[in-house]
Amino acid sequence: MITLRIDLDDDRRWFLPGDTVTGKAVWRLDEPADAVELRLFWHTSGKGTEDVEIIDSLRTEAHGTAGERAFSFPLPLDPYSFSGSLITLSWALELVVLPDGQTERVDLVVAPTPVEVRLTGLGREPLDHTFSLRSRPKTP
Amino acid sequence: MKIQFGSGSTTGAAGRSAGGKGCLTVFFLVFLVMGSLFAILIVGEAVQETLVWFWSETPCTILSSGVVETDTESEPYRPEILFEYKVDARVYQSRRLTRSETAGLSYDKARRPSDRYPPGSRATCRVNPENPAIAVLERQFPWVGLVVFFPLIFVVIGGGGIFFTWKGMPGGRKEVGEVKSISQRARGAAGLGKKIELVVGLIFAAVGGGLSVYLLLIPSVRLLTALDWVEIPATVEASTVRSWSTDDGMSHEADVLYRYPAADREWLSNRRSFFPMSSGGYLAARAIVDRYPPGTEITCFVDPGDASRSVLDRGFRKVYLIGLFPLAFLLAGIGLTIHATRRTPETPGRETGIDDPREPAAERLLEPEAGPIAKIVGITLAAAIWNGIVSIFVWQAVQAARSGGPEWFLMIFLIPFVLVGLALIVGIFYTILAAFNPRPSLTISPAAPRLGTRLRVDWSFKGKVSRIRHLRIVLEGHEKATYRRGTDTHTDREAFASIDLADSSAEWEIGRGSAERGIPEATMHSFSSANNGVVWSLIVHGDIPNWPDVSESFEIEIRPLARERLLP
Repeated sequence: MITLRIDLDDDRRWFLPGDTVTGKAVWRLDEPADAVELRLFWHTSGKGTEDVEIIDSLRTEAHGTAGERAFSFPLPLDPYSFSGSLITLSWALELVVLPDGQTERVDLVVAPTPVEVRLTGLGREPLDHTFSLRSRPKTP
Repeated sequence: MKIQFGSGSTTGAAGRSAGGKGCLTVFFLVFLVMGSLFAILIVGEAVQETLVWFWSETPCTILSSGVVETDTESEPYRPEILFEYKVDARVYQSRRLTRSETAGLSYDKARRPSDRYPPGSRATCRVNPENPAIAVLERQFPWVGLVVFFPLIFVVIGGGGIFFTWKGMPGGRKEVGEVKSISQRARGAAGLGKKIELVVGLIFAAVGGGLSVYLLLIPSVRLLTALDWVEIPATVEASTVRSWSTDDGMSHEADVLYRYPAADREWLSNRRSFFPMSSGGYLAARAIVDRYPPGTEITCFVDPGDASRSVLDRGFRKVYLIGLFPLAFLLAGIGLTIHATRRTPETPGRETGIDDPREPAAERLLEPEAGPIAKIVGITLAAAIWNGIVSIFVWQAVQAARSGGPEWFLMIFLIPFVLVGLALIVGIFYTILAAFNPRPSLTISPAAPRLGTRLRVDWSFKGKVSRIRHLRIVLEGHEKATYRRGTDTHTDREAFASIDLADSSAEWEIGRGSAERGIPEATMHSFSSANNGVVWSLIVHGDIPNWPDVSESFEIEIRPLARERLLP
């Protein structure tokens, strides 16, 4: 039985664009692997063909069957996590055992608000209408 | 191996039962075995054809030459050259022009070898060193070997299917309860998709190109060169409808054999036109045959430089439009190949959280996404290709109706296609009229505004702006998702924001003006990846009574919130 775990500091799942994702990756394998790789990435789902982009990764040569490694990934300012009628863009961290591909994943929200940006009908507002965020997120 | 964590989907090879795998294996095995058998047969034939090139060259004498009629309706004419040669003091005779059979529908092709090898002439034949009784006059390039790519597609499908059934798709091992890696697909699937697109594109381009040469280029060149051919009297020798069964039913061809005098001798030919395909249904073939009964005095056109080349009808006929059909495949293949070999653009200028290297210019003059000429060319091309293809079937339906056997199903089936074609033609006129509209020019500042900031738009028009009765400028955001269905690529768009910037009927304001609006904070910035995107555009719409309206779209970039606006 193998164990893969991604522990995020303060158990955070929501990050502001530009924040830093920190935590610890832990693995216990049945047999030695070539490496374990932690990847920060976003991917799309929905009607369009899936796009995946790895933003950062941390590769660790797995000499034994168990180990752990702290990580710190700075996030870019874009793209935000969002959800619309056709497309959903999600951020995640994955811990992948190579070459077999066993995986643990933790989903993240990278957006100005604690939930993903929802693409819903904006428009026909009065000409002097202004938009603002209801609450400012608190960064640790 | 059991995985403790995760709630991912149980997809992939390991998720299937042994029975399911067995069924899939049998299914793919049929592809593999049949493809392999055909590939082996084709390679074997190509090898045999290649070996002829190494047979011994031996002098020979032509005893007789001519064209014989076979019993096969689809290949009624075959050249027959009887020649004699000597090996080790023993005399042999052979009738083989080439190693494989060379019969066909064309009398001219069957006659040309006898023109090259008149009786009594000396030539060189090639003798099989292992069996001197076998000899041929001519060797052929083993073109048949190229056909091997067709069964190889089945081999790849069969072999690949079996491999992935048992081994699993790229992207990691998948077991019950295991999380399927998404990030792995960034490295595997994108590349695999591009490779598949490239292969499909090259196949389309090769097939479309080959058929375009055969059905469009060669007939067109022959039509042009035949303009100089001379008209001379001829007599119909024989006239019959050739009928044979194919995979798609019966095929029919009018065979009109005519005799004409030229260059001090009599010639026989059955070439009616330069289009290399069958004349269509039985009724059409019968009508041609009835027009040319044996003994009829007619005229044909003969090449003054080579009297062996002649044709009954050198005029352009609608059937030649079939040659436009493979052109669509060629263009699609080229498009796919270019798309597959082009590097996927990275998301433009991704900003890091630490610094922002991009500070765009203060303002930007916007260009329309498509100019009037491009729009006219685009819709004209679309109308030409669509109507070119549809007209072939319309012509067939008309011919059938004229022959007294109307094909009702085909006629009803064609109605929506004809309507789309007519709409495209109307669209051409509409686009031409719209090209004379006043053309908007927009300047925005800043050049790439951020969410939560203000956007200023200055507009003006070139042309007779007084024709516009009402102007509306809207900032629109839409999602754009591209996906494949079969071999087609579709792009869907869905608007999620429509923010009025200007809405006026005042003539002084329509011609030149400016507007400023705040861009919402709680929405999505511009985003672009290979298949998905969030696009912001300024849409200019001007109402012109009794004329196509002004309608232009200008894409702009809206950047994410500045870092300092995110901090508490």
